[in-house]
Amino acid sequence: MGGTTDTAPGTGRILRVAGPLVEAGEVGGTAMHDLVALGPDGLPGEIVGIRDSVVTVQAYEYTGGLAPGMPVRPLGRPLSAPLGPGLLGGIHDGLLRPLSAAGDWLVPGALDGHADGERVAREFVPLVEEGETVEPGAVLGEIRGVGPLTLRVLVPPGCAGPVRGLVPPGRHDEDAVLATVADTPVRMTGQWPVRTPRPVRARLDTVRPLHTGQRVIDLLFPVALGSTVAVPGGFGTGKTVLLQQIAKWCDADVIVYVGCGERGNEMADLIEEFGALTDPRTGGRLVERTVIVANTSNMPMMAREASIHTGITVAEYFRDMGLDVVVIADSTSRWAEALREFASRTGALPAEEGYPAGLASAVAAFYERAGAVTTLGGHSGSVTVIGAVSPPGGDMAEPVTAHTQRFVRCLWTLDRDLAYARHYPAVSWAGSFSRDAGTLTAGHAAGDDPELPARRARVAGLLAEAGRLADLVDLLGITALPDQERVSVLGGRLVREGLLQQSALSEQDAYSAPEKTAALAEAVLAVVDRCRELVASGVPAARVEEIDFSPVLRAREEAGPHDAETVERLRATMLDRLREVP
Amino acid sequence: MKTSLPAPMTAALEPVRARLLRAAEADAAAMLATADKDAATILRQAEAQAADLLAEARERGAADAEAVRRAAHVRARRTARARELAARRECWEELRRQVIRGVEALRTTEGYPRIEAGLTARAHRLLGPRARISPAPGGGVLAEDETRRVDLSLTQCARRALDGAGPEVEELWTP
Amino acid sequence: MNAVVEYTSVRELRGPLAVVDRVEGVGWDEFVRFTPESGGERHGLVLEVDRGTAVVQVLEDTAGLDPARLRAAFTGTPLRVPVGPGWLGRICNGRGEPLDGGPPVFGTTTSAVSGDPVNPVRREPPAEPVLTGISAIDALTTVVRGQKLPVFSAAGLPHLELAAQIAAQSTAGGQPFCVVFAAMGVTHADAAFVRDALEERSASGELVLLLNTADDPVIERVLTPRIALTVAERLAFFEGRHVLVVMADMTSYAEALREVSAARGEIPARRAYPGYLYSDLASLYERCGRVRGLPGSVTVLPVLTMPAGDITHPVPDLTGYITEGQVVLSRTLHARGVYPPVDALSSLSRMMRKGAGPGRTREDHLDVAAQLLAALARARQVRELADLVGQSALTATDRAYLDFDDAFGRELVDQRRDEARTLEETLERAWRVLLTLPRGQLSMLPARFLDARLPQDGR
Repeated sequence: MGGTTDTAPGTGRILRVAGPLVEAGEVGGTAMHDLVALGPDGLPGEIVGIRDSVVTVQAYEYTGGLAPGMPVRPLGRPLSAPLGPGLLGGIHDGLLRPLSAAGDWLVPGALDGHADGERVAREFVPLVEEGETVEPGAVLGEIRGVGPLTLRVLVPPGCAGPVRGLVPPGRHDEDAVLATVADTPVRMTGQWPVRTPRPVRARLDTVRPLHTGQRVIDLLFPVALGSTVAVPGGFGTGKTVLLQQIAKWCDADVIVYVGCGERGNEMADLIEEFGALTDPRTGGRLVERTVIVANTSNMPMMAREASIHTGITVAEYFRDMGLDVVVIADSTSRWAEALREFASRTGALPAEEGYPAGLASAVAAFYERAGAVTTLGGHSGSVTVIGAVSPPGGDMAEPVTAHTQRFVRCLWTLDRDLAYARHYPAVSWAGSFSRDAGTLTAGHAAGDDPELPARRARVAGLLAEAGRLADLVDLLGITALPDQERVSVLGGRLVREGLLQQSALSEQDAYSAPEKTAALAEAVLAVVDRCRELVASGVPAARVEEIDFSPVLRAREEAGPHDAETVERLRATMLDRLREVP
Repeated sequence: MKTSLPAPMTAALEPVRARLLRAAEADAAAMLATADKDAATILRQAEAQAADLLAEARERGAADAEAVRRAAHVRARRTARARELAARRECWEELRRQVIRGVEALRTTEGYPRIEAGLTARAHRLLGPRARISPAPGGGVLAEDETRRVDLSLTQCARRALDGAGPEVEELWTP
Repeated sequence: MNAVVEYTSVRELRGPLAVVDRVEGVGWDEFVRFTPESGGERHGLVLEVDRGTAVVQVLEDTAGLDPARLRAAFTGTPLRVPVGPGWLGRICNGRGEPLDGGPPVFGTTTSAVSGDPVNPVRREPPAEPVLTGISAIDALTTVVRGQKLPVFSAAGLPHLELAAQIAAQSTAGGQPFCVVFAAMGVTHADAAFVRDALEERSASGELVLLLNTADDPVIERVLTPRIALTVAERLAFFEGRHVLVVMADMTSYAEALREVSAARGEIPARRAYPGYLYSDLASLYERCGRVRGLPGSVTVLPVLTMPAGDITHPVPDLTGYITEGQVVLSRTLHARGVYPPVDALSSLSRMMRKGAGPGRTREDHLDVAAQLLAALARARQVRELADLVGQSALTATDRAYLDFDDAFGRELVDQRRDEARTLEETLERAWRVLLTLPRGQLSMLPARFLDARLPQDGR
C-alpha cells in the first residue's frame, strides 16, 4: 500500500480516532467500501460510512499514534482479494497479504508497501486464439505446475468480446497481463471486491455429497457440495480438531481455511501438518490444495471481518474454474465480536447482548455465498461453507448460534459430555441435523449404495433407543431392564465405540472412506442382530453383555481407510464367537 | 480356723485340702506369671513408645532447628538484599542531586546568557512566535500561551535528561 | 520532544476521564502525564481524539483534581516500559515502580506494553516441557514451553499457594529459566506471602515480581499483565531465557476491565463484562510461544477463580477458548486435606503430547498418564456404584479401584508446599499407585514396562 504523502490528489485529513474507528474529512472521490491509507504508515482501512464530507473508516490495523491532522489517502477501489495461483499453499493475513513477507512480529505497517513475496513465474497455456470472441467466465487458458491442480484463467465477469494481445504459451509473471478482452486487461492474478459475490449462471438442483471421511457425519449427518454447516461447540469439545480433520481428508478440490480470531499455536500446527501430509487423492502435499487465511485472536480485530469476506471470495474464484471448494471458518463468533465492537464505537444502538441489529443479516449474507452452481463459463462448481461457532458458556441460545442455525442446512453440535467421556468426534446425535440427508441418502440408494437408507435408519434408531434407555439405566441399573432392551443398550455402546468414535491421531482411522464406513456399520448391525437372536432364544442378556466384543470394536483401528475386507473378516470372527454361545 | 469335725474326718479331708491348696497355688502362680508377662509387655510397649516419642521429638527438633537456620539465612539474605537495593537507590538519588545542582549552577556561569537564548528559541519553536516567555527562578525560561505551557527551567531540563538516562545509570553499581 | 509541552486546557473531569481541549497532533492510545499544581503526578491513556479534543483515561482516577489547576503532557507514543535483565530480582508495583527500596528499573531499551502479535508463520510449535515439581501436574498435565495453561480455581482454594509453588520450583531442563509473576488485586497478606515464597528465586536473579494490590487504583491493574508480558518477551526472545509468566488472578483483572469499561460508558455484553473481553484476554494470553530461530520461550500460566465455581462464567469460559487446556482445582479434594487439590479428570494439557514421552521426558510417561486417567475414570464410576448399591456389593476388582483412588490421592497428588519432586520421583510414585491394581486392569501399559516391574506371572 505504501506510505501516504500529503500532496497526493484527494488526500484528506484524519478528524477523529477511537480505536479502529477513524473519521476523516475532505477525502476526494470516495465510495462506500473503498479502501483508504491512514496516516504516515498508510494503514489500511475501509470506508463504512459517508455523511456530508466526513467518511467513517474501519481500520484494519492497530491505530496507536494516529492523530487528527494526519493524511488519509483514498485508494479508489474497494477491499479486493488478489485472485491468482499464488494463493494455494500460502498463508495470508485477513487482507490476503502473504505472512511470509513479514518478520517475526506483525508491527503495524509490516505488511504494506513491499512486493508480495517473491514474484513467481508460472506456466501458462492459452486455450483460445487471438481474435476469438469470448464470453464472461470463459476459459482463456490454464496454469500448470501449481501443485496437483490445474488452474484456469477466466474472462472476468462483465467482459465479452474479442481476445487481443494474447501471450504465447510459456512462463509468465503472476502479475502479467495475459490478454485484453474488450479493453479490459486480464492478468494472471486478478482483483475482485470481497463484499461482492461473484456472479454465476445458475444454481444447480442436483445434489452431490461431500465426503468428509468422518463416519458420524458421512453416515448420520451428511453434507452436500454447495451446502452450509454450522459447528457449535464449547471449548474442549474438539471443534478445531474436527475441522482440521475435515480440511485434511474431505474430497473437495480446494480448501480455504480461515483461522478467524483463534489461537496462533493452532495455526502454526496446521501449517506444519499440512506441509507434511500427503493428499491421498492427488499424491501432492495437502498444503498445495489449501489456502490458509490466518487472523489470530490478538491480530487486529477488524481484520477478522475482512478474513471472512476474503475467504469466501477466494472460494468463489476457484469455484468459477469448475472446482469444488470448502470454506472452513474457525470461528465465526470472533467475527461477530468484531462486528459488535465496531458498531458500538459508531454509537449504533445495540440489539441482543450488545450485538448490532445487523448481525443476523451479516451472517445470512455470508452463508448465502455458498452453493452448487453452473458458472458463467458453463462449468459445475461449488462452495461449501462450514462455520464454527463458539457459544459463550455453551449457551446454544445466544445470538450468534441462534441466528446461524436459521441459515444453515446442517448442524453438527459438539457435546461437552461426550468430550468429557473422551468420545471423539463429540458430535451429538440428538443435537445435530442435516437437511441434505434425505436427498443424499436417496441419491446413494438410487446409485452406488442401495442399502444406505436402511443402514442409516437402523444406526440412528439404535442410538435413539439407547439414549432413551440411558436415563433408566442410570436410575435403576441395567438389570432392571428387560432382555431385549438390554441388547439395545449394548447395541448403542457398540455403535458408539465401534463405529462413531474415530481418533484423529490414528494412522488407520483418521479418515474413513465410504466403503470402510459402510462395512463397519454393517458389521455392528449384524452383531447386534445376532445378539437379539441369542436373547430371543433364551440366552440371558447378562451372559451376552459379558462377551468380549473386541473384534468388532477393534475393527476401526485395525482396518485402513479403504479396507472393508479386514472389517468383514473381523465381523465374521465376531459372529463366529457369538455362534459359540452359550 | 478350727472345724468341729471329728479327727478321722479331718484326716480324710487332708488330701482334698492339699489338692485344693495346690490348685490354688497353681492358679495363683499362673495369675502371677500372666501378670508378670502383661507387666513386661506393658513395660516394653511403654519403652517403645517412649523411644518413638524421643525419636520424633529429635526429628522435629532437628527439623525445627533446620527451619530456624533457614529462616535466619533467609532473613540475613533479605536484609543484605534490601541494603544493596537501598544503596543503589541512594546512588541514584545522589546522582540526580549532583546533576541537578550542577545544571542549576550554570545560572552563575559566563555562558549562561547563551544558554538562556537557546532555551528561549526552543520555547518559540514549541509554542510559536506569540508565546510569552519569562525567566524561571533558578535559571532557564518558562513559556506559555492560552492553552499551553513549557517549562524549560534549568531544573526541569536536568530532570528530563536524567529520566532518559537509561542503561548507563546501571554502570554506577556494576563492578 | 512532545512531553515538554503541557496543556492547561483541561476542560472537564468525570469519573476516571479527563477531557483536554485545543490539542494538536495527539495520537490515539498515547500515554499522558498529568501534573496537578498541588503535586503528585498521575498518568493516563488517550481513549479518543476528536478534532482538537482528547479524552484521556486517568489511571489513578481523577479524585481530588481541579481541571483549572492541572497540566497534561502528551508523550507522543503509546505507553512504553524499559525492558531488559535489570528487572530480574526486583519487586515492583503494578505499574513497574520499585517496592523493594531500590532505584527505578533501567532497561537496555524500551518496548510498547501493548506488544505486537507473533507472525503465525514464524511460530515454532511448543515442544519441550517446563517441569513444575508438582507431581499432579508433571505427570498428568505436563506444561510445555510456549504453552498457555491456566489454573481454574474457586474462592477458598489454595491457588495462590500453588501458583507461588510452581513459580518457585519450575525449571526448564537446566536451560536459562526465569519467572515473571504478576499479582493483580491481591490482599496485602497475600502479597507478603508471595514475596516470601518467591524470595529464593528472586535472590537468584530468576524472578520479576509485580504486585498490584486490591487497594491500588483499579485501572492500574489493566496495565500490570501487559507490563509483565512485555518484560517477559524481551527476556525470552532477546536474552534467550525460558520465561514462565504467572498471572494471578485473572478474575480480578477482568473485574477491573469491567469497571473501566463501565466508567467509559461502553455498552456491556454478557454478565456486564465488556464485549471485547475475549479479544482482550487473547491479547494477553497469545503473547506466549516460541519463535522460529530465536532461543527462549514464553509460557503463560493464568490463575483464575470461578465465581461460585461456575465454569460458564465469562472469565473461565473465554479463557478456556483461548488457552491450551486447564488445571482444575477441586473443593472436594481440598476438603479431604489433599494439597494441591488438582482434579485430574477435569484437567487437561492439550500440548502434553508435544512435551512429554519418548525423547522428551521419559519413555513411559504418556502411557502411565493415560493409564492413570483411565483408572481414575473407572474408580469414579465404582464410587458412584458404591453409593448406589453399597460397598459390600462390589467385586474385588471394584474394591481394588477404590484402593487405587485412595493411593492416588495420598501417594501421588498430595505433597508438601515446599516439596519439589523430580520427574523420576513423580513417575515412580505413579507406578507404585498403578501397581495397586491387578495386572489385568493395566491394559493401556505396554507389556515391556509391566514386565520390567512385575514378575512374569503377574500379581
